[in-house]
Amino acid sequence: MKGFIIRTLVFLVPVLAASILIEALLRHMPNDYRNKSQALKHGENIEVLCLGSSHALYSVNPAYLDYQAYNAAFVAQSVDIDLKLLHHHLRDLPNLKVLMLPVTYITLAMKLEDGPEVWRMKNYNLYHDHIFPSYAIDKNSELLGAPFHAIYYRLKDYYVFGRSPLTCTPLGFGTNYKYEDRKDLASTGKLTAERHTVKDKSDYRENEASIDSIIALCKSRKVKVVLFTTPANRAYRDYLDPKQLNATLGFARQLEKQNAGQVYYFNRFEDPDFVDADYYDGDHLNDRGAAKFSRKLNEFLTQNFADILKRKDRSQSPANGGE
Amino acid sequence: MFFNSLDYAIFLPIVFTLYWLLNGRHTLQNIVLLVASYIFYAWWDYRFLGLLIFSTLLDYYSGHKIDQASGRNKKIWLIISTTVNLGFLGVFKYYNFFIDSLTDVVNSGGGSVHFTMLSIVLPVGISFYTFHGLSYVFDIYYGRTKPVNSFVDYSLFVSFFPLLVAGPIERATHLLPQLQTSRPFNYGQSVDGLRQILWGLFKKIVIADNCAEYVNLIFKHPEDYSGSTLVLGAVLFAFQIYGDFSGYSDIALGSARLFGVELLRNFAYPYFSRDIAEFWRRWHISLSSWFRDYLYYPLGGSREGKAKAVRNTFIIFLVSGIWHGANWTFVIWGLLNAIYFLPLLLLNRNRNNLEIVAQGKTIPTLREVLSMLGTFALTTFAWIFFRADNVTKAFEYIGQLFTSNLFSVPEILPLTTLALVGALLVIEWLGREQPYALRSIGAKVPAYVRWGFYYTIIILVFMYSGKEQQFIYFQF
Repeated sequence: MKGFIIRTLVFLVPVLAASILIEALLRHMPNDYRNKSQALKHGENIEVLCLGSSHALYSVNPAYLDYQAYNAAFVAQSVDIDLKLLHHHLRDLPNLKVLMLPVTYITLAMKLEDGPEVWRMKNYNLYHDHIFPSYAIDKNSELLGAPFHAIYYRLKDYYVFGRSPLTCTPLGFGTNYKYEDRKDLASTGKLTAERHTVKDKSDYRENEASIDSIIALCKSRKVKVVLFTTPANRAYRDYLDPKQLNATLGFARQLEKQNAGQVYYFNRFEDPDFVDADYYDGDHLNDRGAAKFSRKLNEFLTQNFADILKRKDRSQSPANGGE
Repeated sequence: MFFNSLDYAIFLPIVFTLYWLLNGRHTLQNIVLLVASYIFYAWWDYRFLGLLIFSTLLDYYSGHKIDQASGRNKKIWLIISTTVNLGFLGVFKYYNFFIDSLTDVVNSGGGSVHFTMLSIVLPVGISFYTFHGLSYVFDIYYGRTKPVNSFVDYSLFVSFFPLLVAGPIERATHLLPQLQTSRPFNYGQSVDGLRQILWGLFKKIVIADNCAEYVNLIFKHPEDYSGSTLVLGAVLFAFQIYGDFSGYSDIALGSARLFGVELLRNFAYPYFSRDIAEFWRRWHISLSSWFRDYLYYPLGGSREGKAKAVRNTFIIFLVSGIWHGANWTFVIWGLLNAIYFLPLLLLNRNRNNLEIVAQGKTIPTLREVLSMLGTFALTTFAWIFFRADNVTKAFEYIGQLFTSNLFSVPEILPLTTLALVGALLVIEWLGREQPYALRSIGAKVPAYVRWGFYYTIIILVFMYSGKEQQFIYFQF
C-alpha cells in the first residue's frame, strides 16, 4: 500500500505544482474586487455609495455625480452580499450620507450562491476579507472556484497579450457595456426576461429581510437610502411576469412609504427618455445610457440631499467637461 | 456530495486512508465504511438518514423472520417488507403524480375534484437502496441466501456509499460475501480503481456535461430549430445520458475497488448493440437484471407460452419506465422499448447477439455497423420521451423533427463536443472487450505513455469542469 500511495503522490505532484502556479498567477493579477475592497477600506471621503448587481454597476457612473460617490456594485451581487459588505465596511465610511441600492425585476428572486454566477463567491472571500465564512475550497480559491475556460482566457489575456483584466473605472463604474458593442435588444430582451422570471420564490423573504436590515443599519447611522429601478427596454419589459414585477417594485414603493424621510425611491423603469440607443441589451444600459441615467440621478440627489451632501470640485465632473 | 466535486475528492482519500490503516481487520473496516457512508448520505440531506436506517432495520429484521418462519408466515413477512418499502417509495416518488393523473381523468370525464398535493422532497437514492433491500429479502425467501447476522455488514450492503445514491443495484449474493470476508490490499486493484474513476470523470464532465449544454438549449425551445438540429439534440442527449450514468457507474465501481470491493458492472458498451435485446443486456444492467430476476421470472418469464412472455415483457418495460420517474414520458419510453423488443421475442431472436460485436476484430462488418446504427436510432428516438418535460412537448419535438429541413445543416453544430464524442466512441470501441474502456491501457503501453494519457484526461476534465450538471439518475 505504501508503494501505491507514493506512486499516486508522485503522479499528482505535477498536477499540484501546476495548480499552485496557476493559483498564484491568478491572485497576482489586477482585480476589480480587490480594487473595490480597497476603495471601501479607504472610503473616508465617500458620501454616496452605490451597491447592487449589474444593473447598478452599468448604470451609475459616479463621474457624473456632483458628489463624492463610489460604485461598489458588481455582477450578480445579490442583496445579502450588499448587506454583508455594508456591515463589513461601514466603519470605513465615516462620511457616508446616502446609500443607493437597485431594486429591479430580479432583485428579490436572486441569490448569488444559488445562481449560475455562484463561482463569483470566491472573490468575496479572497478579496473582501472573507465576508462569507466558508472553508469550502472552491469558495476560497481562484483556480477551483471558477470555470476553467474563464481562467484560461483571463491568464492568456493578461500574461500573453498584456490586456488589463480590470472592467471598472477608478470610481467603480463598469466599462464593459459600451455603446458600440450593444446587442440585439429583441432577442436578448426576451431571453433575459424568461431567465429572470422565477417560479421559485423561496428567496423572496430572505432578500426582503436583507433590504430591511440594510435600511435599519443606515437608519442607525443616519444614512439616507435611495432605492432605484433602472430603465429597461420594451423588448425586455414586454416579457415580464406582471406579478413578479409588481411584487418587486411594489416592495420598493412600500418601503419608501413606511420609511418616509429616510428611504427614497427613484423609479426610471419605463422612462421614455431612454431610447434603444441607450441600451446595451434588454435590461442594461450602455455607457451613453448610463451617463444619461447618472445625470438624472444627480438631479435627484441634488433635489433631495443638497443640504447633507458636499459638492465636489465642479471642474472634475465630466458634466462640466472635466475627466 | 457529487462524485465530481471537491468534497468527494477530499472525502475519498480520507476514508481510504482510515480504511487501510485497519488492513486485515475487516469488521472495523466495515464500521469505517458504514460511518463514511452515512456521512456521505447526510451530506446530501440529513433529514432522510432516518428513513434509510429505518429501511435497513426493517429488511434486516424481515430477513431473519423470513428465514425462521415457515409456510404462510414466510410470505407474510415478505409482504410486510415489500409493502412498507414500496409504500415509502410510492408516497415519496409517485403520490403527486397519481393525484395529478387521477384529477385529470376525473375532470376530463365531466367531474370536478381537487385533491391535496403534497410538497414532497424525494429522498436521494430511495429507488436504489429500496431495491437493494428488496433483493435481500427476496433472495432469503427463495432460499438463495441466508440472513446476515452482523447488522453492520447488512447496513453496509444497503448503504455502501459508492452505490448508495445511484447504484449499481447490488445483490446480496454478490456483495454481502465480499463484505463478510477479509479484503487484503491489492495494488493492481487499487490502480484499476483510480483508472476507472478517471475514466468516469471524463465521461461525466467532458462528454455528458458538454452535451448537456446544447441539449438544454435545443430541448428548451425546439420550435426555434430545424429538424436536423433536433436530430442532433436527440443524439447529444443519447451521449449525455450515457456519459452521465455510465460515468457515474465507473466512478462508483472504481471507488469501491479502492476498498477491495467489486461491484456489479452496470454498462457494457450499450451503443455497440446490434439489436434492442442486446441493448437491454448492456444498459443499466443491474436494474434490468433485477427486474428480470424478481419480476419477470416470478411472473413466469417465457416458460408459459408466447402470450405470457409478451405480457411479462410489457410489464417489465412499463415498470422500468415508471421506476425512472413520475411522468407519463417515462411510461411511454418504457412502452416504446417494449414495442421494439416485441418482434425479437416473437421471432425468438432476443438471444442472438450475446458476445460483444466484432469480437477479436478491429473493424466491424457492414451488417454490424448498420445494425448498431439502427439500434442506436431506435433508442435515441425513445430518449426524446425520456428527456422531454412532458408528453406534449415530446410530441411537439418529434413533430418538429420530421419537417422539410431535416436534412439541412444544423443551426447548432458543436464541433468540439462532437469531436470529443467521436474520441469517446473510438476509445470505447478499442476497449470494448474489457469491463471498462481504459482497462487494457495498463497492460498495453509503457508507463510514460500511460501517464501522458492520464494527464491529458485530467487536463480535459479541468477544462470542462464548471459547466456542472447534476447526475441525471440522482433524480430517480
